[in-house]
Amino acid sequence: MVGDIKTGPASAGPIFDFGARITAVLCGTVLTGLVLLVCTEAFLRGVFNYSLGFAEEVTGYCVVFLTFFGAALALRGRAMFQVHFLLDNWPEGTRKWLVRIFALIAIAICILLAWKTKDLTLSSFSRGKFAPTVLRTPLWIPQIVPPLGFSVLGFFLVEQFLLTFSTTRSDT
Amino acid sequence: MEAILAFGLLIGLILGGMWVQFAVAGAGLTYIWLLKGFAGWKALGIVSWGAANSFTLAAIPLFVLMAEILLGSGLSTRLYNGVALFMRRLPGGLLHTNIAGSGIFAAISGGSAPTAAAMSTVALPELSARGYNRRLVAGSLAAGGTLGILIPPSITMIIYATFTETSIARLFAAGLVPGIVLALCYMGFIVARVLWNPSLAPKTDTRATLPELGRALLDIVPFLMLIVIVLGSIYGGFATPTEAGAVGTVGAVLISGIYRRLSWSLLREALSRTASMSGNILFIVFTSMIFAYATALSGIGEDLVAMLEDANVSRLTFLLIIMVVFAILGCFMEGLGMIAIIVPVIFPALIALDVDPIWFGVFVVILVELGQLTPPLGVILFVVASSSSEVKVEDVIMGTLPFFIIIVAFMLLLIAAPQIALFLPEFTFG
Repeated sequence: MVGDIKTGPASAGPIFDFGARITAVLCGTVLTGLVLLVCTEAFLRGVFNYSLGFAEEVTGYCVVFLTFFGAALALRGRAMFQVHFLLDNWPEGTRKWLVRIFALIAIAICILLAWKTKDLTLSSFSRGKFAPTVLRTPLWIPQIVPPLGFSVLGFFLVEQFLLTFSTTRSDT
Repeated sequence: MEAILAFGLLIGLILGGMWVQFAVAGAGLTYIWLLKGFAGWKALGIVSWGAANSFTLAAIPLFVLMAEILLGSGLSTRLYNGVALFMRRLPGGLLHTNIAGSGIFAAISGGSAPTAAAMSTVALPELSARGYNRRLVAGSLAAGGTLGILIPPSITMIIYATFTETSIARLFAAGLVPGIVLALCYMGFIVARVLWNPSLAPKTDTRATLPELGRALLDIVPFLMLIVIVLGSIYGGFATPTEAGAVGTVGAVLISGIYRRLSWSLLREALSRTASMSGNILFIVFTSMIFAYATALSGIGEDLVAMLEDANVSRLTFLLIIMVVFAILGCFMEGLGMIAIIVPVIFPALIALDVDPIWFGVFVVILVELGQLTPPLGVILFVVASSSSEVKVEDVIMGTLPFFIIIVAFMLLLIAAPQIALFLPEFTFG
């Protein structure tokens, strides 16, 4: 059946598809917000010589979000930078083991960085730190994005790990 | 010793096939551990936050989105056809359209891949069918595509500026003249090649009528207006590159709307691709910041300066060494990663040797251009080859070879005459 033909990135299950959909919607929303915010700031400053005062701060937070959640989408969509010419020349079994090892190392990196960025978030929360800006944003709010982002990256790395156990070559 | 281990691990993981971003992060974390033990990781939280929270880097997703909207709307066909009418009577005919069209698209796109894709999808099938030499067509498209990172706006320059704390506006100004000169060099080569062997390109004698030229101009004008808005606002000091990117994105939406190409699916697809591409780029910048933190801890940059002084290495020798290093690394490393890893290490040496950081930004971007044309990782080669089933990667590689030599010759010219790059920023910003 035509309707059964699946396109898009390989999936290890509906939970990963759902996660990817949510991530894509959030990224699209943040990106749209970023365009509107920066454009509004440029327009107000250029035409009325008036600045919102918080555009630069919020733009930085949007970049933090897109860094981690966008990278998660790139990982899932097989778009993350990777050198294939040696990897693809290994026998299939060896290649699968290499991908598993790389996925486990990457998961360990995500856990370490999620842990360290979580410490920063908790430190900002416990000390009541806030951004020295017009908004006086409590810093723990934007700082929660990196640990969350590393968790999402780790989630899709688990998917990459699981995909190495599927049978067809195209899925690995 | 720690540096050798860290760089060895980095190259090993990348060559092994690990995701480049995680290879860089893994090597960076290992480097910090080798230098300071587990205590060195204490600052990772604050280093991570500082690396990711950047207003400047917001220009990257905005310029990517602008190019994606224009690419998705299929307006590159109009641009190509518009430019073609003005170029077709030159010796080499529509081959010049590949270069000029790429140059114009480069001025509204931040990268080489979108530029090469925009022109290749239109030109490759069309020109092959008209009897143009396939290799020359593919080579001109690949070479034209690389102008995407040299002619501003350029994502590669934004990343270089992030790591060297140089002015993006100055870098953008510095890239413009070399980009135009390089495009003219490509066109000069095409003219010479076709005059030498006329069978490479069919000759067109029919003159375009005035109404035809008028219609062609209408196809190009919206793009020229977008270029004026984006670059004019930066050079004129009215907007930061980030703001220019946002204004350019809105401009791209308006142009797509005017030509009745705008739809929800176009915007959705553009947003989706932009999120993925930007995340990919921003995350490599992020992980490279961790590596840069490690190199700063190690003091390797200062060691390099001392070593160069001891060996009495001249400025020219150092630049030639850099060219060789980038050429080798470019065979297996992505250009943005190369800049993010190498530039923080060599930057103190550049300052010690009195190399202008703005000039070096242009120089390094051209080196990345070369990497994009070098197999096995040359991304542009694959973008062009994937645009038509009739063209193989081997054709693109062979077609690109003369343009590759032109780029190397141009780099030597840039070393001999740095004013080619420095004239415009000095004239514009003083």
